[in-house]
Amino acid sequence: MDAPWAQRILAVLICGTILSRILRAKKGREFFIRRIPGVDAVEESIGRATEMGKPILFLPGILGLDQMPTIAGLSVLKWVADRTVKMMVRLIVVFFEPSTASIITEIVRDAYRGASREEAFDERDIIFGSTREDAFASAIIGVVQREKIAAGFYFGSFGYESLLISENGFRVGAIQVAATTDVIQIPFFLCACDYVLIGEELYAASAYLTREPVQVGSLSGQDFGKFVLLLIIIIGSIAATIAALSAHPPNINPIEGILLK
Amino acid sequence: MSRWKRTLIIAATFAAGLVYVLAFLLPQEIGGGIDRHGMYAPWLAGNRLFYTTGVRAASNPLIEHDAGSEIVMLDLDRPSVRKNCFNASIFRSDDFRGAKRPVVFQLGGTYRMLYLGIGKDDRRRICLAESADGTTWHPFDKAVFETPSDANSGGPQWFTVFQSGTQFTLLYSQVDHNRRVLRSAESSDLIHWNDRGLFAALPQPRSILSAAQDAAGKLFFLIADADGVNRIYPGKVADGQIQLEQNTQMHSAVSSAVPGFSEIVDLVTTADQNRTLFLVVGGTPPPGGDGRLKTAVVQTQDGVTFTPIQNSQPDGSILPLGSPALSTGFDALSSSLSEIIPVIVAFGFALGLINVVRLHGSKLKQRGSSIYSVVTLVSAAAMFIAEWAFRQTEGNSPFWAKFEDFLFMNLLFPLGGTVFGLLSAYLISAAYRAFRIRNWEAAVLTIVAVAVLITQVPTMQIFGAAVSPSAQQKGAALDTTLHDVRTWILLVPNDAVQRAIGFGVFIGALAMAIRTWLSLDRLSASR
Repeated sequence: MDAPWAQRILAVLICGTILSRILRAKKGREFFIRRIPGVDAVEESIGRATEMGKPILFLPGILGLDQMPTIAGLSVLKWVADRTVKMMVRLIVVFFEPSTASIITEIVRDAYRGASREEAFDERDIIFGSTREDAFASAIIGVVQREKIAAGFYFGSFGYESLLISENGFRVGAIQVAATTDVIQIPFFLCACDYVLIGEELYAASAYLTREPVQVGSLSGQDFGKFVLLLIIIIGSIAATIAALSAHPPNINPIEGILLK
Repeated sequence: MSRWKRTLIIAATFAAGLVYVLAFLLPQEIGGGIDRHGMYAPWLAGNRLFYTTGVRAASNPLIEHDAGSEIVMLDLDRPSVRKNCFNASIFRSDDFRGAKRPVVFQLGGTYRMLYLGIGKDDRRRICLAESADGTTWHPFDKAVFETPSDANSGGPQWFTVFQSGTQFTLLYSQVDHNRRVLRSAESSDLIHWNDRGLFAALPQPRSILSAAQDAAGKLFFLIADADGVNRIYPGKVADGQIQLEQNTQMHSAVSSAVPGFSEIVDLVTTADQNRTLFLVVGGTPPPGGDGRLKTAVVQTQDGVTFTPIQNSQPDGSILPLGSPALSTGFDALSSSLSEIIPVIVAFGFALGLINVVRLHGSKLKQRGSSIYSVVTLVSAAAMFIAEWAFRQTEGNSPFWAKFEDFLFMNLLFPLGGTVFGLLSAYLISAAYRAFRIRNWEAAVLTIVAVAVLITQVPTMQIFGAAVSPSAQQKGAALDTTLHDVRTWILLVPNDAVQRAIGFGVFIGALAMAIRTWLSLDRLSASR
């Protein structure tokens, strides 16, 4: 079936705005980004790990490269890798999806190359856990307990292993920052991690950390998209209320109809 | 990475993304005849032919559309003029996704059309439209008959209406034990219906696909036989069971009248000047045919010989289907592109294997604490060999079957279960920390969590039972109220927050997808 026209128009409107904001940001327009304490904590954690001389664990989630949470996690990994190399902290990355292996390796290697320390890059710190969640969790628990990590950054999509990982991180006293779009896993991370980035903050983290115009502009475009959705929700709620209170059938919310037709 | 390689990757990413974007934005077909995707579920009222068609090609050959179906009307004297009877409206929910199977009667000076509406909830209901002239139709806001909830979860797939004097009998299909049976309802005005329950059934596995009635009141059934072939049988109904005439002469005669139909999927009759016309729906699946459903109108004088009516097509169908549309092709192209993903994943597994061997191999070289590496490599090799040998012997070797079973069922799954079981211990310690009341937000969280937890089971009833039977009854009533509170918490504030997060995630993913598509984000510094 063709997508409903209203959805197509909405997609063009939001995407167009995101692109225009990116272009404006590239031309030098500055957009405001609110403070995200969890992202600030990433930098603090790297500093703490430097002082303690212990490694940092980074997990890019359990999805493949075709999934946006993984791409967002890898954007953050790039910044973390650059910073850890600069601060001379060991970075361990455990991945779930084999298709991410080469790009993770390249991101970390590039960080070392950028600091002219390529010889210090140890490929054994890029670890393939497993494609089974239980085995993946076991592999990470092993790393956390053996290495006594100073900090753990979990940026991406996670399953039930979220609590197993973060509880172990808590037990070794690591500062943990988690960011996930999986609504079901957010409470588990909230219980065990020091900072949690909820939902879309995962996508905002990279922009906040790097302040790259493209990402900042895109973030501003996202805000416009949310504003449009909020407007539709408000109008839809009013229309639904009127329809429900209407004395005559069929009590249909026209906004819902327009969006689906 | 060299410049030309980078340019090639960016160009390939952009081109692939463009295909998906255009597949979403552009209509999949442009132009074409209104009934280019089929002509089925027909009804003949005088010289007006009503039928159903779909807005795009069906996913399988000889399948009726549900979503996107439309009712079309044409005058057999001017068959080139085909028009939609009515359009779906955003103000009608019961035929929001489609309308099919028109059944038209004239009552007094008004035409009434019953049809199967596919609602916003994807449930099928019997709807009604009225017309003063039989040309301009006005659908009712709500369906006139909804099958009982015990009859069909998704509503009937098929229905028809027989008229007997001023009474109308509606027959509709119900799936029962993997076969279709017929139920009935009655009405005198086509608006108000009374369900009469089971009308007719056949022993499994035979299904009743459709039923029709000639001018003399004789019944005909299209039956999906046990051998998978649909056949037409004359028959009658007694005590809810169909007694079919066990000769297939009629089926053979009708089939020979429609040589272009290798399969018949529906049968409708209409009485015309004391003769009965049979509307036969069928077609031929690929490779012999195009898989589209067509309608033929056949007549008989003696009940033995059937012939298509005048001006029918060589294949027996009454009219040629509409001219094909211009396909934009992006939908098919995007589906093909998606098939590349498993190939990339397969390569990814090889990378994972290399990573494991390299990591643990180097640890073994270094000696020291390499026992875990030995276990990992040996386990990986054992798993690989066991599965490979098991598949090579196709499970016929008792040794490999037992070995494979041991590794997976007795080792891997229990180990996985053990790790999962750790969750319960971790949950308690995590919950303890989460529910410590340190501020008012934590207090709200704790109260809500406790409320949801204790209302999961009939707590008050259990406590009441310990006191007295009357307290137990009061407890049960209180549990019902608490259950409503719990449902409200889960469905209103909880759902609202989850949806809010969902909206943010959706927009964030969209922005990230745009950046990735246009190669605005570069993850690797090797650019």
